[in-house]
Amino acid sequence: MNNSEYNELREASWRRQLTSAEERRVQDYLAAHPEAQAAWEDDLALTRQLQGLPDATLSSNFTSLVLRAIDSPRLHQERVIPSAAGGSGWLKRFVPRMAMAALALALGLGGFSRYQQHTRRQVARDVKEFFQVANLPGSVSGPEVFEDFEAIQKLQSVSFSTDDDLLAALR
Amino acid sequence: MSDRPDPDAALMLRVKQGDRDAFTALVEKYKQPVMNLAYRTLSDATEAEDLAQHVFLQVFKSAHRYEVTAKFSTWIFTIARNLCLNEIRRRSRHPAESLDEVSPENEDQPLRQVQDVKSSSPPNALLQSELEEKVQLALAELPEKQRTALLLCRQEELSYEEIAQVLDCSLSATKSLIHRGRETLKGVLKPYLRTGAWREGEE
Repeated sequence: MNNSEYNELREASWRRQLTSAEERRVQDYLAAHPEAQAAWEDDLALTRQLQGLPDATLSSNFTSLVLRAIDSPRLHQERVIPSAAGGSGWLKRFVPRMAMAALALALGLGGFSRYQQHTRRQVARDVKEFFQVANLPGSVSGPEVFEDFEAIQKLQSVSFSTDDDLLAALR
Repeated sequence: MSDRPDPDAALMLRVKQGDRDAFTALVEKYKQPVMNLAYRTLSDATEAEDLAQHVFLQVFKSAHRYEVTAKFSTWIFTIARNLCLNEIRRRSRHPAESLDEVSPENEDQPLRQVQDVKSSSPPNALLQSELEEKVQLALAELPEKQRTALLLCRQEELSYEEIAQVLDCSLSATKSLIHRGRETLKGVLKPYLRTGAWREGEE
């Protein structure tokens, strides 16, 4: 028997009792390869220990507990309408997230729309004011309207603590 | 899957048709192997039994979509392993919570009725339980895949290919997991393997 056949039998011994013929072949192999003897014995002992592990203690009423659980209305309902149950599970997970995402989107769109309306109103007001000034009786239309524009703009940007300061500045 | 018809798959097809006796037969046949796997994975008898019950509830709930694509044993051990992994993950997130859930209709029922089945004489029982504990501890220290592979190896009806299916890895990877797991156990349990104390305990 070669090494690979020996290893196959070794693997088989992990799962089941070897037949007497297999056992003989292993013994022949070990006689020819004494260095493998200790490992083989350890292997057998470990297999025995693993196979000898006792069963975990199980309640004597285990089966009746399971059968009672499958009779519970909740489980019955899940089983009778599995697609609905699956659907509701999916809905339960995703509806809150989708609702949050929709709310955030709606708030974003609403805010953007209000901002656009506000901007348009502002522009309309400015245009209206400009035309009111331009159409004043006796006023000149054309570039002369803006003759003092720069000075007025500068006055707006300068802060004066008192009217005296303002007067001094004007003088 | 082999060409031989799987009697458990046939039972499961009957469960699919609503046959309660077939379901009871499957529970009776698999409750102990499933419990063993759960117990050796979770190291807690109460949680393991709760989980084993969940495995059978899952089998019952999934019966309507059961198709015979693999052996029933492969399927149920896959469910058991997945629930064990979920439980391990749940434990790491919520260490204090238990799986126990008392429903109003069952609250007057005992959760577990345990029979005392140990009958060894005291010195042997002591020695045996000590050795069992050593093996259990050594198993618990193994990585999950190696441990599950070794435990499924005890199930004679599962071939290496089917164990590989449960573990969701290749055949060679599965054999390697078993080999590495066994080598680790041999290293840890060497003193006990050499003395043969286990054999004395068994007799």
